[in-house]
Amino acid sequence: MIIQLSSLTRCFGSLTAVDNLTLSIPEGELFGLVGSDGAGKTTTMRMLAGVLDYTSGEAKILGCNSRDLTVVQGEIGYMSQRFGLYPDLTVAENIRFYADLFDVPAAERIARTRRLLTFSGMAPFTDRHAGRLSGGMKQKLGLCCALIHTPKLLLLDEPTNGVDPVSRRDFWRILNDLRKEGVTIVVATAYLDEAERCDRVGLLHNGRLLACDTPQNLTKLVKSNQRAPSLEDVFVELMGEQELAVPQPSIPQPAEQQPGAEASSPAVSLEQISKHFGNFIAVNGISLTVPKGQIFGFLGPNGAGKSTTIRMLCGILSPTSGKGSVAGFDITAEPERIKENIGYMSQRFSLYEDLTVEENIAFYAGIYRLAPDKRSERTEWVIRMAGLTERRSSRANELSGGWRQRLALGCAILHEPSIIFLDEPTSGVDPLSRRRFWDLIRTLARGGVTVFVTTHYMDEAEYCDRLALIYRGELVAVGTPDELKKERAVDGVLPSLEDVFIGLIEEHDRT
Amino acid sequence: MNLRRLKAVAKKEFIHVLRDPRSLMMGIGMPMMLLFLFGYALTLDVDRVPLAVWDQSQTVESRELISRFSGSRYFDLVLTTESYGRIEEAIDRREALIALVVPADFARSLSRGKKAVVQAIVDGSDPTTATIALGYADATTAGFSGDVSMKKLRKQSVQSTKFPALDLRPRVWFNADMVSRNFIFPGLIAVVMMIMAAILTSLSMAREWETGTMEQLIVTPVSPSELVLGKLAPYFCIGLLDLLLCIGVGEFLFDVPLRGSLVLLTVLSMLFLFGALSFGMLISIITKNQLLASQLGIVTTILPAFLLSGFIFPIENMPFPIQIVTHIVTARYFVFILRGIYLKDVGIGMMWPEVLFLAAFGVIVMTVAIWKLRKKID
Repeated sequence: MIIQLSSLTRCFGSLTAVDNLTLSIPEGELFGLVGSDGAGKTTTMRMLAGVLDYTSGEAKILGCNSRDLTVVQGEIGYMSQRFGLYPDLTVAENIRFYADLFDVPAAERIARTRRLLTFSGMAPFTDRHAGRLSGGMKQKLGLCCALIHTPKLLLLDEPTNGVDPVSRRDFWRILNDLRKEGVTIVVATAYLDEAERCDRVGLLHNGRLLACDTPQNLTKLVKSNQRAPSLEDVFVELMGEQELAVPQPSIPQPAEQQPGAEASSPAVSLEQISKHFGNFIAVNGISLTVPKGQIFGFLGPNGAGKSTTIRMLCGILSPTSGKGSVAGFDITAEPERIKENIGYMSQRFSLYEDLTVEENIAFYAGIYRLAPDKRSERTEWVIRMAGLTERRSSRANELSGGWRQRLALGCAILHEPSIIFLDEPTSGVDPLSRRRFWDLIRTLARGGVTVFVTTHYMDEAEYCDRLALIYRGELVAVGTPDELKKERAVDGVLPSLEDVFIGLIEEHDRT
Repeated sequence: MNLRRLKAVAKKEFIHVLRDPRSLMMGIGMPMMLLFLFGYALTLDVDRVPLAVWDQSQTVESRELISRFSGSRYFDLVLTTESYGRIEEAIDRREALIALVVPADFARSLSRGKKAVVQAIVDGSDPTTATIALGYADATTAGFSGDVSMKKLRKQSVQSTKFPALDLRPRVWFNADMVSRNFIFPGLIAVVMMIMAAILTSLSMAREWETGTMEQLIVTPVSPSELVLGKLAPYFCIGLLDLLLCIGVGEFLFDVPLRGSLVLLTVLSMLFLFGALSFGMLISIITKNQLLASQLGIVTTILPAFLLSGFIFPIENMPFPIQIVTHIVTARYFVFILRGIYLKDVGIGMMWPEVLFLAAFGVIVMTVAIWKLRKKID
């Protein structure tokens, strides 16, 4: 056994981050550790890497107690969530630095560096500073640094978090090659589609291992009659058992929407809009129309220009050229009117952690200048919608990811905007909460609210009425999910959205 | 200790410093700025005290007294007036710092051999300057009064050579012209090096924590001592560069004479630098946060270096408990060493307790820093 954990527990104060974890991983296995934010994945990975000490139980890594791994340090490759790269060092300098720290002999270092660079496709970028790499490239460079000393065991903590599908697919190709070489790999991930590619998967929730088996065996746990259940169904089912006590929030219908400046005008319309930052073209001539009440999905790899576009739509950035309107207001002439009429929720959940649920809501009610009689009504509405009735006096930092996400959404729509912009609202949230969140979104859309959402999850893209794919600042495709799939169907077989996405990007790269 | 790992860390750290214009600015620009600012602006010499005069006597004698004042290089006659109101106004506006009122009976009293009284009004809101100005005034009137007595005695045809009985012939050592810059400048080197060392290094380890690279370093075989010493290397070089720049500026721009040995100065500065850098590193290791580290660095190193090192404020004048506190301020010992070498050409034989303290401080702080750098997250 490469890894042997028995009753491994780690507490932080009163919080038990990892609870009684017993697990063994044999040599050559590709093991996936799956769970949402706060499930205990990172804590577990850190204990496996010997970076963090455990509170009780035992962890043996390559036969060594994980409290002191000095002897086997050279056999372990670890990549933390933040990749551990120095932004002001070039690709080659980063690799060289780690090679020196592991005392890799010069000849071996040169050969190994060349091999890793070719194998990760990083060879053309050796002189680029790590800080100027895209998310996907940073992740590959992080992997090269973790592999420079030819480890037997590779520990990866959410390596593909926030990375676009193309880079994710490349990354998993590399992992598969490594597995063939006999490297034992443990990878923590929030993406369940990635977990399906592992030999075995452990489902972690609130620090406890809910289940651990091969993906095939796990899906047998769910008795589904219509279709083949996915790992996500397994997760939702297993977690559902755990969270029976939590009442399903009843979603009140939002109040009647006031018509915009013109009742018939689209919610969002953009004409040849561009944004340049110096020589860099972040957004290049995008034209879009989103009718009222639609859920519009905005997809694209990191750095494609999604956030820049959203910022222009919200009136935070002014475009270099082109024109557009949001909720009937011009984005260059009336940005302040736009801000009053939209709701915006970013991936960072702009809640004040040290304020309670009610205090957070009261703060946003003040900012949006809600009339006093309206205030209590809307507060009740948000609390019911988020299912926080029993936790209204809890501080925001005591809430789990799903609660916080719903509260943040509630704060963003407190003033009953006709359009809401959601920037990666579900990243890092567990599957059950994600499903609840999308229920909310659909209810809002039925009430006439236009939803403009960006996401990395392809299954979420399926929930959208229409999709736009943006890549390198340009609009690559727009259409309903079915339209997009049909365009790329081979012999009548519809590809998955992920394949569509990857195909379109590769096509764009060739031209 | 593995030399290759040490070199790898040092090399990486050099790249950080060279590629980050801010750290170069902090490491070289800021010390130079401090040096010029303090070198030019900070002077304790009171020259050309602005003087107001009300001569009520209007006699040869009174004019002679006033010309002694206005002719000396310590006073600058800015105002001659005929009322207290005008004197008050001049002092309020800080046009004059000292006012001399010669009474109407001045010449009469002198000629009758009686004691003549001259009033001096001093602006005491700045006690240091006031004291010095009064001292000058005292000396000037004493000289005048001595001459008056001599003249009288001569008139009474007494043998002039026998008088006066006492004549002090002062001989100032080490700083013959008593230029305060010569006294301040060596201390300034200590302050500059302390600031540079503490701020730069206090950021360095904290940055590793903040960018998340520390977690990655923990899983490599690099040892705490390799990491700490490797990280110090570039800052040590910057420190030496600063020292040379300081000595150069002192020599060629401020004309501060270096009487002692340059080699001894350099060697002991390296010793001080090592301690100061280690201290900054210790702060960085404990706080793990750049903002906190730099603030703590300012409070724990720069303030003591300014206030408690004897650089400007003499330690002998401080209250006893604070005098005790100054003993743990390394800059105090370094200021002493620098002044000794710069002004008095003192050899190491006279300074060994200070040298020993600096060495012990460096070694202890470095040991604690390495010990505190646990390769764990908690």
